[in-house]
Amino acid sequence: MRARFWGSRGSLATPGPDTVRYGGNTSCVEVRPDDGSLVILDSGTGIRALGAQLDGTAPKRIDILLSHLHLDHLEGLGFFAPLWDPGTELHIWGPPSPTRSLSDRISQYLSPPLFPVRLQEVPARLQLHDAPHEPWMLGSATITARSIIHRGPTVGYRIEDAGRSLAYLTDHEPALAVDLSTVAPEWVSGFDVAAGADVLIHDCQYTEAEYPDRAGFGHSSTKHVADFARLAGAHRLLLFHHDPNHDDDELETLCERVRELWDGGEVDLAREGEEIDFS
Amino acid sequence: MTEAAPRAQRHIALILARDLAANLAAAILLVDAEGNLVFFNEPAERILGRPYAEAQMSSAELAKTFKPVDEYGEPIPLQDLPLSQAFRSGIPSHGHLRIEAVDGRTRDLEVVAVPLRVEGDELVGGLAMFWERAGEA
Repeated sequence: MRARFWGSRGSLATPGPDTVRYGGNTSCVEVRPDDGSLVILDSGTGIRALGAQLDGTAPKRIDILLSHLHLDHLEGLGFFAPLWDPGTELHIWGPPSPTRSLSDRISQYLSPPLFPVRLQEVPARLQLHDAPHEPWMLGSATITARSIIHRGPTVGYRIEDAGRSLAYLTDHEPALAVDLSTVAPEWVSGFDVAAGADVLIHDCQYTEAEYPDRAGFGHSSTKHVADFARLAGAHRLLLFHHDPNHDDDELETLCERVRELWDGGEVDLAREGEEIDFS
Repeated sequence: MTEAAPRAQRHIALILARDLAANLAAAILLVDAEGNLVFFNEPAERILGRPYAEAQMSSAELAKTFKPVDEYGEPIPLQDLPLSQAFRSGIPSHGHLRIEAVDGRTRDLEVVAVPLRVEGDELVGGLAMFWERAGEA
C-alpha cells in the first residue's frame, strides 16, 4: 500500500510563499492498495492536481471516501477530471445522516448557484453510498468507517491492506469535554479506527494556547493529538489539517511540541506531495 | 506492523452522551443497547447514594439494587420503568417512582428516559435524567 498527500491544509486553501513547504491545498490523500486500485480520502482542493496527474491513466473505478461534507473536504470534487469522463465509475462514500441522503447533501454544493452543473448531470457514472457500519472491501483493502466527534456527521476511516494499516482522522476533537490522559479507550472517539495503526493521520489544527478559544470547533490541539496517539498506540503520526493561519515555520514549531509530548513513535507534518510507502 | 484487532469502542452517540452528562448538574445515567448500566454522573451519585461503580450492572440488577416502587409502595416491574418503556416504544418516556438509595434513604423521583437512536434507526443505548420531586429533597 502507498499513500500520497495532495492536500493537508484545513479549513481554507492557503497558497503563497508562507505555505510552500507543507502546501496550501485542502484535504486530499491518494491511497493505492497493493492491487493498484485507487481510493481517495476527501476531495478538498488537492484533488484537482491528482485528477490532472491521472490523465489517461485513471482506473475505470475510483472510490472517494469523504470524511464529512464541510466545504474544505468537498470543494475540489467538481474539478476532479475523472468526474467529467463518462468512462469513470465513481463511487463516493460518506457519513450517514439521520435525515438526508448523501446525494442530497453533496448536491447542495454541486448545483447552481454555487456550481454551474448539477451532480446528476456529470458524465461519470456516480454511485453514492453511506459508509456502512461493517467493514467492506475496496480492491485488496479493507475499509472501516466509524463516526467521530466533529460538527455534523463525520467519520474516520481505517484502511488495511497486506497487513498494514492507515488511520485517517481529519477534523476530530476527541478531547472535547474529557481528559484523554485519564479516560478509558472505549470512551474515546476514534479509538477503534486508530488503535495500533502503522500510520495515523490526525487533525492538529491548534496550539495548546489557541485551543481554549476554539473548544467545540471540532479540532484538536498539539496536546490532544499527542494524548490520542499514545492512547491508540500508533506507530507513526502525521499531523494534518494545518490551520490556514499557521505558516510553515509555525507548523514546524507545533510539530516539535507534539514530539515533546509523545515519544511513542515518529511524528511529522503531513506535507503536500509527500508519499508514504507502507512496505 | 499492525497489532491485534482494536478493542471495542462505544458508539459515538454514547460517548457524546457520557461527555455531556459528565458536564451537567442534572442527574443522568446511561445504559447500553442491552440495558446495562455504563455510566452515571456525580449528581446521580448524590441521589443514588453511591459512587459510580466500575462494575457493569444490568438493568435488572439496577432495578434490584434500587427497588423502585410507585406512589403506593407497590414494586414497579422492570418492564414498566421509564427506560424500559422508552426502549420498547422508541420514544422518550416519563415516570414517577420511589427508590431505596444505597445510603438507606428513600427518594421520590421524576424520571425522563430517552432512547438513543442513531442513523438506520439503530438503538445504541438510552439515558435517564432524574430529579427529586419538590418537597422530597
